[in-house]
Amino acid sequence: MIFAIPLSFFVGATFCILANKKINAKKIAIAFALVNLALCFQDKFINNLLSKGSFGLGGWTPPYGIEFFAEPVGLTFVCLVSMIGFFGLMYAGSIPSRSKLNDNLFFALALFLLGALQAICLSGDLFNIYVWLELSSICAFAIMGYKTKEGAFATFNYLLAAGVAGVIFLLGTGLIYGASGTLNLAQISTFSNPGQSMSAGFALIITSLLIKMALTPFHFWLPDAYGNSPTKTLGIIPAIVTKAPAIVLFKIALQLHQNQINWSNFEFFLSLMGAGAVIYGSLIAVKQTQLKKILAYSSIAQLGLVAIGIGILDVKGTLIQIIAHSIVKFSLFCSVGALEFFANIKTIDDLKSTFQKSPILSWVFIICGFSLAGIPPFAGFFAKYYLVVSSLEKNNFFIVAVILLSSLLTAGYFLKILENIVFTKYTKKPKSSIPKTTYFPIVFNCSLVIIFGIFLPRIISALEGLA
Amino acid sequence: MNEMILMVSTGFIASLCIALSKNKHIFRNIIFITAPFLVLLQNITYQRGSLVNEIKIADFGNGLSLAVVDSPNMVATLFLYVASVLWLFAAFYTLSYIQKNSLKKSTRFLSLFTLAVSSAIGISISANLLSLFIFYELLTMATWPLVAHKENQKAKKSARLYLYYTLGGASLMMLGIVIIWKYSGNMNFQYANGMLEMVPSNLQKITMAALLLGSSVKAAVFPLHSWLPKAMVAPTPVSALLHAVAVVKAGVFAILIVIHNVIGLDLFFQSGIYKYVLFFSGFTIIYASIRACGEDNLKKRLAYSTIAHLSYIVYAGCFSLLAAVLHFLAHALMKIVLFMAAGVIQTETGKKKISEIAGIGPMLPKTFSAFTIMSLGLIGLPPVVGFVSKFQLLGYVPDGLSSIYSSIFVLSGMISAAYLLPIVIKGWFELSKTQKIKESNGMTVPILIITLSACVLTLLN
Repeated sequence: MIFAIPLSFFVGATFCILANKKINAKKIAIAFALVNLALCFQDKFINNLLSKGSFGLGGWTPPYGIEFFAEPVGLTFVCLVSMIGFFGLMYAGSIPSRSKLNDNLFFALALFLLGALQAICLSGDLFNIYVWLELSSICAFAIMGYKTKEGAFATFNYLLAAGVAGVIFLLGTGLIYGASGTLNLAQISTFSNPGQSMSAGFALIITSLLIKMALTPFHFWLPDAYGNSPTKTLGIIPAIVTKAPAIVLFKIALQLHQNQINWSNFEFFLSLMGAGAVIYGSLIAVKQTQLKKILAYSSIAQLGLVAIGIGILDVKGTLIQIIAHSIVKFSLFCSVGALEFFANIKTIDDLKSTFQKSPILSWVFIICGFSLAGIPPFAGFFAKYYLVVSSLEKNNFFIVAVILLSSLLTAGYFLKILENIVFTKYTKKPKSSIPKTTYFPIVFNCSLVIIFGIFLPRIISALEGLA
Repeated sequence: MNEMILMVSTGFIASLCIALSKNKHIFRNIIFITAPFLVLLQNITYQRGSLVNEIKIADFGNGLSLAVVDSPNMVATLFLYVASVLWLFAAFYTLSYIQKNSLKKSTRFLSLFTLAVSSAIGISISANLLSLFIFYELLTMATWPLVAHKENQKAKKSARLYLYYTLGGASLMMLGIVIIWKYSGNMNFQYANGMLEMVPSNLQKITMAALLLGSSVKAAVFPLHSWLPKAMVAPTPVSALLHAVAVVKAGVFAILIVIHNVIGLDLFFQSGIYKYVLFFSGFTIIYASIRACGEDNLKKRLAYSTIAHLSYIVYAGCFSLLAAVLHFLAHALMKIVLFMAAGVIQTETGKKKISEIAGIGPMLPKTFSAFTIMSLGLIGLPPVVGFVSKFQLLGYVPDGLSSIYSSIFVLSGMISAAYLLPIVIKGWFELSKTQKIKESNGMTVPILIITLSACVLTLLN
């Protein structure tokens, strides 16, 4: 049954290619996303999965067959992908396509991407993770560079980075296979005598994942790729694509930590790089004028917090941060996309007319900005809270300082946006016509930012109890 | 529904209603006036519950919750009363201020104003440190657009500075709160008497420093004070109610509960951290008083005076909670009148600077009489409540520190005279050839009532 989750996306993708004018791809995609959502959010289903753990495709037991492994961290992300995917597709569907080509290809690729992202987090074996990672990257290239000039150029950078990362990942997988004779994560971590080549293999894999999740020294591809990607993709790509490698990294970290390989070196490097990303991303974001670029650098900074959480192995803080940041960035990127597409607002200075043109999106900016800065009771606050708790446990005061500083740094760049939205003279321009179908996913996710602020810590605590 | 939750939510609901009231200005104004009335009414009628009863508004799991307390402690009760009573007067004042000055975007202003005061009320009755922190942040976020209300570069810059200072302070507070939560699990502060026993000794100092530094941002204690004079670009009702009563008093309230409830007096003196608090607040008293003498802008001079008097409360709070609380009340009453009077002067005559103020007394006799009386009170002379509170401050002379302790108050009282009396003398006795102006009742009546009640309070003591 667990295979049905990503499979529903893949089946949908196939149908999308076959779609014609009567049954258009948009409807098929949203329908299958709904099926996926229903599969993911069944209570019994999730409980069942958590108790069973490992599943082999077609009855083949793990070391030989393709294994899906259910555990709380991965499943949480699968649910998140399902939700963000559903709303992202809805958002993409509400943006009219300007090119003459029909939407079939776009929605098919988007569904493949979402399916691959879910499969990444369910896979229990390194080679499968590699395959799904590559599939997700290829789909991401394709829809980011979809029929636009700037998009194509920016994607080329991403292609190079992700390609190199893929090769490194494969190399690491090879080394681990050579040393341990298996690729199954659970089996590798029980391997009694990790040698040099095994550690080297994991170091390579972790480096590759860091490139894919755009942690600071490897962030170079991200701002251009996000900054130039077409409006339609903004609901799908920025919110979740970089989080999937982060989840894989977290799963590997949790496995390695339980066993012989010494995690403390990785902990030191990851939290240091995370701290660097928080500071660097926020400082560069201050200088940007393009809205998408600001959000892209802000993503880098927030992923720094995720990396810190992974480094200090804080399940609660990391998961809350990933979920909170996904819904916040989904709302923000979609708002920016809608403003750009329907109201021609691209830079910080253009924002001055936002409150007049679309008061709803202005509120989205305000609420999401507060959440990013970690103001209670919005969703971002408890991520910081639990990250501080864990880093205190590790006696790592440098990290504590960086996490506390991050809300100030966030205020540094987000204040410019908020000031332009809130403090402007009203001009008598007509309201722009942003369709309701575009508003709906944004407003829904934005309300989740408030609701999750109250309920997310409890949900995650419950999941921790199950694990 | 619990009365306390009702009390907090009244303000928040009113704020929301005002925000949604598009162009119906009468409806909006009625809500704006009704909200403080309701809160005050609830304040008078509610019955104190048992001491430990806390009411959860939202539960975040793991012992973290947003909760209010049924019967707040002495300082909290006083803060609650001061905020809700002065809110009512300030509400009347604000409405006529808006009308007289034809303030733009007045709906946003009124909505956020209500939100800010209700957050202050939330702070006073919050049951645990996390709730305190949440209301504290809410207060920050509500005041930030109010400071920048004029929307020019100067106002935006001041608001940005204000936000950086307060967010930085909040981050430090969060550190302290996390440590306390992690080691003791219990964050209910209202009747606690030291919450740091469970915290390992190497973290105790960090916790104390983080909490004290974090809360002294809003209380404007010396190196963290510079946002307050700059925030005076805000419209006068904001300066009057928020930057003389709600915001800064929330900071002082936080410091007082940190010293008395969170750290506990025993540990506070044992660890020697009291020396720093005394030094910085004592220094602030003298420094801010001297800086006030050099300011020509009336509101800025009052702001420096506020900084000095906030440190009075902190300074006294190290020894005697009663003296501190008394001055807390007295200063709130006196400073709100001074600011409101400054607002009237600015509205009626357009004068902002002290050098232009000659002859203002005969022009605005009612307002300036109130200003004069309250100035005397601030210096520490009868017949105002300031006299009593200063008397109390001097009365609690701790052993071993007596000479420095009292000399600071006496010295700063003298400097207060040096920066307040010239305004009074100039206003009354340096005559210029101006006509008497009709003072608008909406703004003058609240001032006079507060002045009168301040005088009556003196007798009651």
